[in-house]
Amino acid sequence: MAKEYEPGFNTYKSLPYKADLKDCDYVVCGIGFDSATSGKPGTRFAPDAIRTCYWKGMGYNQNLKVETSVAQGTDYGNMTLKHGYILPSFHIITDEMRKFLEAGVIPVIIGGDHSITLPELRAMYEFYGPMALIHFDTHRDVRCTGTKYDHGNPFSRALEEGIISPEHSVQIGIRYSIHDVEYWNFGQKEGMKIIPASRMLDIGPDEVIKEIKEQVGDMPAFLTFDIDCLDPAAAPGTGTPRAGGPDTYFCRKVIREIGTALDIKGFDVVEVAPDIDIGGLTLQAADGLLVDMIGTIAKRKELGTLVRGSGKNLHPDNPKRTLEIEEENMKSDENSKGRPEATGIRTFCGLKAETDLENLKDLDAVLFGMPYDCATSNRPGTRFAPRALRKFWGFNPYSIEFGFNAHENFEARDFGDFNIYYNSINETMHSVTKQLDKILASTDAVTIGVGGDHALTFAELRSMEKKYGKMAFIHFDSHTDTWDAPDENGNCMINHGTPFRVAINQGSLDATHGIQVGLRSGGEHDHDFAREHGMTIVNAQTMHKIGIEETAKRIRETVGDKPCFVTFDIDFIDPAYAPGTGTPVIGGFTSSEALKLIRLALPGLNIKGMDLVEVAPQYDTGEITQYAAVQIISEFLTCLSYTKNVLHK
Amino acid sequence: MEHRPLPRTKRAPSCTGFSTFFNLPYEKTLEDVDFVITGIPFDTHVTFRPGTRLGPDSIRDAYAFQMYSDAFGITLFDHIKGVDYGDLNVINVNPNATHECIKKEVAKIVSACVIPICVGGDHSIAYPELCGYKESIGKVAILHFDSHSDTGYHEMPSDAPHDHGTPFKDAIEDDCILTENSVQIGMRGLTGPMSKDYKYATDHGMTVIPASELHEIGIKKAAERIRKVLGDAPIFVTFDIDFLDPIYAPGTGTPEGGGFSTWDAIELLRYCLIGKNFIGMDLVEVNPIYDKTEKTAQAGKRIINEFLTLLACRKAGITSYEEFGY
Repeated sequence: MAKEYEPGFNTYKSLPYKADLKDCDYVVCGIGFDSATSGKPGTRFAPDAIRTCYWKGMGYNQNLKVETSVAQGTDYGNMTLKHGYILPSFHIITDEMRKFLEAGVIPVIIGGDHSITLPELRAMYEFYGPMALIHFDTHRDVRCTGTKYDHGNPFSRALEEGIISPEHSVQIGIRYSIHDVEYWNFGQKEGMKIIPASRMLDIGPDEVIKEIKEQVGDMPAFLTFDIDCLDPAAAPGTGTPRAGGPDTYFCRKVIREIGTALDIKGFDVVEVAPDIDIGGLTLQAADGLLVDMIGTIAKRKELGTLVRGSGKNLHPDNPKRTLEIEEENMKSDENSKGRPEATGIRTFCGLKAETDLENLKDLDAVLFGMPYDCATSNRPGTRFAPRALRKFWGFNPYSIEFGFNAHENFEARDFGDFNIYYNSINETMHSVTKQLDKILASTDAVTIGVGGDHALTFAELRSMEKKYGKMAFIHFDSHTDTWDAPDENGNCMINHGTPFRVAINQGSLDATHGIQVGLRSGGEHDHDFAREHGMTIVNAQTMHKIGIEETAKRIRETVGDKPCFVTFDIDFIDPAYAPGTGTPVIGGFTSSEALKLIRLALPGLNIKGMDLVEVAPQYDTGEITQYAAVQIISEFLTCLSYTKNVLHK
Repeated sequence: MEHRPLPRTKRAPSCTGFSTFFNLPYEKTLEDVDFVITGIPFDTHVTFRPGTRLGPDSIRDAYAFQMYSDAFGITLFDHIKGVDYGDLNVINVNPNATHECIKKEVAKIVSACVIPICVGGDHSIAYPELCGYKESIGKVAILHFDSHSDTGYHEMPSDAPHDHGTPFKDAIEDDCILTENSVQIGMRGLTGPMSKDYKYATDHGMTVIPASELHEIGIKKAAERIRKVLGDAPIFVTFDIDFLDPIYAPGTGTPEGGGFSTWDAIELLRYCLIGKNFIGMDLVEVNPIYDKTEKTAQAGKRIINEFLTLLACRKAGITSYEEFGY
């Protein structure tokens, strides 16, 4: 045995450092390589950072009901890699992995970005043949274009090289489709199974476990967990997060069950970027996953089902083959172009900018920013939202949930920000109305405003009414926004708590076809006002009880086929998922619930205008609110495209 | 379109509208401009903390714009025109392709007699930039502000030859630099002034003024010395933000204490460059991940702003920084 843990030197859970692998069941090793990252980098620091999590040692795993020390483990430190050089680093990784596999132990790898899984799998293949891949992620990582060996590509290469077996492989939690349907279909007709995030959350962990077990069968398997599979609210510290994912409870439950039942020969956890993490949230999430992964090794040992690797290299000629493939691939890489659309200024969802009214005519949607926050009652800061939200992409070319190419035959543009007068609410309201008038006069496109605070919706509605008459409306919010704030003449003044009272009083809205969803604050007065005008309310209390499907049904019934305005206050979402807002209210909904509600409620409606308001970036942590907000705007666009290209075709 | 900062919408604050460098119009043009500012969001060659790929956008967003120079008494855009050229088509996972792209674009800009201002990105981009200059106008002198000499402080493996500590070694080997006219200033990082990298630079004829010396002799004396070395050579100014003390610029991958203030930097630029034949600049290593208060991005933006001021001075016929007497 190697030396016991020495204070001052941090091994994972105080495991012995570089013990004799013959005595071990598993080996923990860090691969802090992040030069193949396309988003925010920084995963090189993950192995050491995760070693600092709750360091006391392996204890009793209460969920698995097993003493983790039943299995012997060791920490082999970190691999020494060549930053900035992908293939030279890959060869180091494969060589080091081979040493572990020759000893028959189970490698438990801490990444690094996801590119490292390819060289890991190459080594695994040499000892176990083509493996079943169990892959938790937001992204499929089988990109068809771009460079060949970056972190968006490991599994397209693995499939091509024949080192994983598609008919036994499964990808779980997928919710981003960077290319069109080609990307989505890659590997699927060879039998690869996908459980997208939306479906995963619908069917629940037990069904997910069942489906994974059926797909993998008794094949030797490799489990890779990209931390961005988790919702950004659970794991913000990663380079390419995306709202609408599962929480840690869900994923750890699945891992415990399948890890115990299946013949998993190796694990990794990748894409943790400590320096963009918030309060160690992501590190703790990753550590929890690792604890359960290692727990299943112990459980299998206790049950007598843990099969030690033979240590026999079945494919000694594979390294030569790999080099040949690489050489071929690198030739085509020389022509790789990157993404030209990413080289300009930032716009909403990466759309093209168009500031000329003349050119708006034939568009399907026009987005514009309203950076104004002086009608706010509590914390200001939403003036920074339009610029902040332009940092993020999100509009899927291929819509996974609706199953169509959303970008095809659908043109949307970013019109820039509206002219705002900071020192006067009234002037700003008039200005927004006037500018929107101009847009509406030059196009029939759906307008999508990005706030700013909620008072701006009133200004938008005043303009919409001139063109479309009294509108039906769908209002997602935690507040009623029908407060009464009378001036000396008794007229309600406009601020971000009164837009719907004023709009209804002035006749811009048709309250009998209006619905407010998710409300969980506000006084009796507001509700009286709603009742008097025949407005429908599904408050949070009701919505939690009747569920998303029924809520969507009520929305559709209320609105009917009237011309309709959709307004989404980000504080509809719970502050756990969207803290970056001026007036958060707890007891709300997750971002995935919000997205699901939009997808069920909006398609096919006669939508003329939309907005997304009240994002305040300074109160955000780990940009999670902004990711959720961009996802909602993207879902708006997807629903509009779906209505145009599928429902109304 | 007028290639000057877009007029702000009446009373709107600076955080509104599309985010571009100095609110200039975004246009990929080399016509009717004196300079272009382009982002190079590449950071794969960082040796320690990555994240400078987010640098260009953080500088676009930063609140630091001095339209009127009280040092020279001129309004910048009365004299110069320029655009935000967008970001170059960088592929972070493909350093070779990125290198080629930078070289080609810089050569194209310089050949059009336009001054390129490149915003990094890590310092490795200086090498392809210098290759671009060489291709279009031949060798250039460098005026290099940094805490590290970036002339290669350790042996590089043959299959991993470059990182952000090697660009000037690479450029000297490639014969891109007029070393006898070049100056490196502010060095204090890692291996200290007597190390191999310092020797490499001086052996090739470059003048190195380490931080210790600059602190001792002060800005004006140093500038006098620098101006003599620079002579009439075409000068490429390359500014690593870690020249500044971490107090002024914490948001960078490899900060080094014992540095200089933003005021020092601006004064040094003025004294060294007024009336000189500068032909381009880059500003590198701003890393917003470690820049909590935005002050590093503000410092970086203000330094670019000062370079633009000097360019405006040239156009306005101002050739001396009055109180200094050049």
